[in-house]
Amino acid sequence: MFRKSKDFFYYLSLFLILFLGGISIYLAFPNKNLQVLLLAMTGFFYFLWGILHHYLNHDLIVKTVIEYALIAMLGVVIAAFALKGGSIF
Amino acid sequence: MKKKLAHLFFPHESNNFRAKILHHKILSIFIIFFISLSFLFSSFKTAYPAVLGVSSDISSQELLLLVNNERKEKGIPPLILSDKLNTAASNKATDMFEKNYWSHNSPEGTTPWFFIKETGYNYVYAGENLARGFNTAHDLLNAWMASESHRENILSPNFEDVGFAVVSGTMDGEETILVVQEFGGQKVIQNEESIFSPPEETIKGLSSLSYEIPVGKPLIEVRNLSFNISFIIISLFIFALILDLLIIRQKKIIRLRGHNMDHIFFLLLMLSLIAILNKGSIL
Repeated sequence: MFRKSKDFFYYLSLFLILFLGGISIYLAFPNKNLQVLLLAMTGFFYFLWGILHHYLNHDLIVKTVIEYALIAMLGVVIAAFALKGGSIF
Repeated sequence: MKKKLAHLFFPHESNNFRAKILHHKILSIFIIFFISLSFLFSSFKTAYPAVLGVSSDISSQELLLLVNNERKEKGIPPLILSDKLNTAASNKATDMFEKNYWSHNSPEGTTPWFFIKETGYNYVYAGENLARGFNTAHDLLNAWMASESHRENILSPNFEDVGFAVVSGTMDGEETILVVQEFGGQKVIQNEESIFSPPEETIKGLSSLSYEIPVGKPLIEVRNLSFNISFIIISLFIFALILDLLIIRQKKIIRLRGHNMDHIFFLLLMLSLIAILNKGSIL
């Protein structure tokens, strides 16, 4: 998985984003509105991380940007849907 | 059918070497689907609460039975259901929903003891347990018994009476079932300190907002349905990403796209949060 040493730092930063996002969402329980806000922030930081990762790898194209945005949105929307019992907003 | 499934999940010439389910168009469709479903659920819950809504199998009688069973096991006299404490619990639940707070004290600083005193119940000892988001009385009691402070209230010999309110409403943006349990004791037990101090505030008249929202049993439990749909769809995408990743690596296909591994980690976090946070809360 970590072919180059820099991959290690990329994934370390990703795990840090996901860990901090996960912990903050867990600690916000049972405030669902705050949880959704933190979910959206985690998704946004994941999107930024994806772009930065590909930019530094010199393989960033528009399709990749859209892909990270869609995956982030999909994850956030589905998780919010489940956490708020069928209502996202 | 087999061909369609292969097109959907296997990277192949037909789908430009990327599982069709991971194409931008399909991802967008799923996002729009969930947003639409959210609006549909909200409208349906309002229009047809008997079909789609939140429900709970918790009843005051069952809670009383379970609490008294716990007390009986420890040789403590059973609690008696008090109408006054039931009213106090109901008023407290209404206040919590109206002012949207999840705390023993209201944002204005009103303590639980105010709600007990305003019913005319003169206590020497008083206590309060709160819970939200539980489906069964057993799960709820287990959660209370697992917490030292809640267990102390349930097993305290100072309390003789109890009142419950099981009310549905919206709190922090979530439609939920709130359970309020008020304890009271009117006899002074010698050589023991009272568990809680009496309230300091002036007692006002009975709240005109005192009402109990009946918890109906809808045909479809919205929390379970939304949890199941979300869990299945996220798992499906994780499965598709893993399959796509394995085949691409096996066939050594080079693509200029996002990394599946990143998406898998992100969606795994979402899946874990859904699974972990789908539970009730006590206070």
